[in-house]
Amino acid sequence: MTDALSGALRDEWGRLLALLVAQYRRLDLAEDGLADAFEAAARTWPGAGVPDNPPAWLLTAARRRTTDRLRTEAVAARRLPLLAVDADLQEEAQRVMADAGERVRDERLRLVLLCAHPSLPTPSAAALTLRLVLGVPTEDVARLFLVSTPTMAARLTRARKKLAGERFGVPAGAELEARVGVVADVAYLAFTTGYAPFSGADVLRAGVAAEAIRLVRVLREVLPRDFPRAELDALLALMLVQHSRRDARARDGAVVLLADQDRSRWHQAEIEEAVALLTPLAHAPASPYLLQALIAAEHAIAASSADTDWSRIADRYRELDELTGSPVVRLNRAVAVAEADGPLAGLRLLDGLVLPGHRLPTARAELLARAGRVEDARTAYDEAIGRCRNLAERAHLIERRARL
Amino acid sequence: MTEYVVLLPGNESTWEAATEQQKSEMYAKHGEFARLLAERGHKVIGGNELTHSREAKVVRGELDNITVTDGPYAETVEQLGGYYLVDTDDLDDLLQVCGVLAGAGAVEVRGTVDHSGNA
Repeated sequence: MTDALSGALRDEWGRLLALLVAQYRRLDLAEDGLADAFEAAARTWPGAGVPDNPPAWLLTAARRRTTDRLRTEAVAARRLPLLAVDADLQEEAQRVMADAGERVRDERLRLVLLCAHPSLPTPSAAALTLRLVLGVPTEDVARLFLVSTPTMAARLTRARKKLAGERFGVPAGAELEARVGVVADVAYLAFTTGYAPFSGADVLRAGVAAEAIRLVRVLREVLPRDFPRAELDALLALMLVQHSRRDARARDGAVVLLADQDRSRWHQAEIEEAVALLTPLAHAPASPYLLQALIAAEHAIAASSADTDWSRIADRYRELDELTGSPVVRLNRAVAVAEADGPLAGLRLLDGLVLPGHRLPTARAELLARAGRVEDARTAYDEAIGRCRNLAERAHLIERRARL
Repeated sequence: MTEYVVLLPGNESTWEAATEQQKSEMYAKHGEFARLLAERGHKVIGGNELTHSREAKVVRGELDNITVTDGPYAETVEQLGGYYLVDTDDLDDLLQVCGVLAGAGAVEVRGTVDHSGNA
């Protein structure tokens, strides 16, 4: 694929798709038409040269293909229900030619919000957003979510069908805020999917994380000017800090823990951007993304693992614990408190905690070992091994127990 | 090497009623099982705990024309609660190690059929 084309695919896909959806009121048609247009471009641009206005070329080609499909369909008499689109928007979308000088009206917000529709389960919404808004090919979306391409294609089709007949619009007030909250969660889910341990090649993981960051950037760009942005800024900062460690978090296929990472391999520009985003939020009301971002930034600005301000991190986790009441947060808080005030203080916070999976007994085992209670640590490790379903992690736990 | 399935039947209501402490002890047994297998040269290649059999779906019929009923296929008190997949060439020793999990109940070990055509 030529550079011009892959650039257009990255930058224009969501914009053009939103416009086509506004015109034809069907996700499936709009998407197929646009995919056809990109395919035609890949065939003709290398020989005929890149057109003066690539988006206009792609838009015209996509409309032609879509019209063809509509004719075929009229014959086959099988149609999906139409999305509800405001009449003037549809008219505008039909009129726009994206010719030289004319700016394509940005309807990506509608597309982003449609993908975050409450009728979709979050993982489906995340996959659909990557596909529709960011133009990530289905095959790559499938790899990111660790399923086969046909499975992902079927999941995406189900999601599109579910959305047929919904509103392609921008809700107001509280509903808009709620919908943006879903998009934020979708972006963060896609981001963390990328960083799940042992979930594929590192390159791929960094790829999905970068796409999720792009989604948050697009969202900030297309939201109305007066929309409150603190939560999105905090989320972007959180993602940037975590993403800045991508080159340091794996070595020889194994996960490198934060304390052991080579800090010179952290991407400083991303950390700086995150800190700049967080600075105005220092006294903003606490929210889960903000507190997590502040914790992540605290690690990012420490010169070394030993210089980390654990008592400040423990304070942030206390706030987060009180705000969310999540057992996972309590677990992380206990680890931070153990660093600040010793393993016994950490262990006290784990008392009575219930959490499925092996993370809780693993943390307990490590704190017990640090406190010198070797027998109790062995039992806790056994429980962790018994609860652990990931073979690589289980082998790692067996090894740690043997080293006690 | 032959692949074996270690099937873990058990009384689900006992497991549901177990305290966190009892569950911890049970998981520790599974940990000991996994650890002993590793130490004695058996290779765990998969396995998992299963959700309660009331969550099971039984499917009858054929493609695009199915009937689905809720609940397990076999109406017994003891239901399959989990399984391991173990690759080993020493079945006798694998059975020994399964003693860790058998406890007051029982564990069923079954070999899988090798369809690779190399045997």
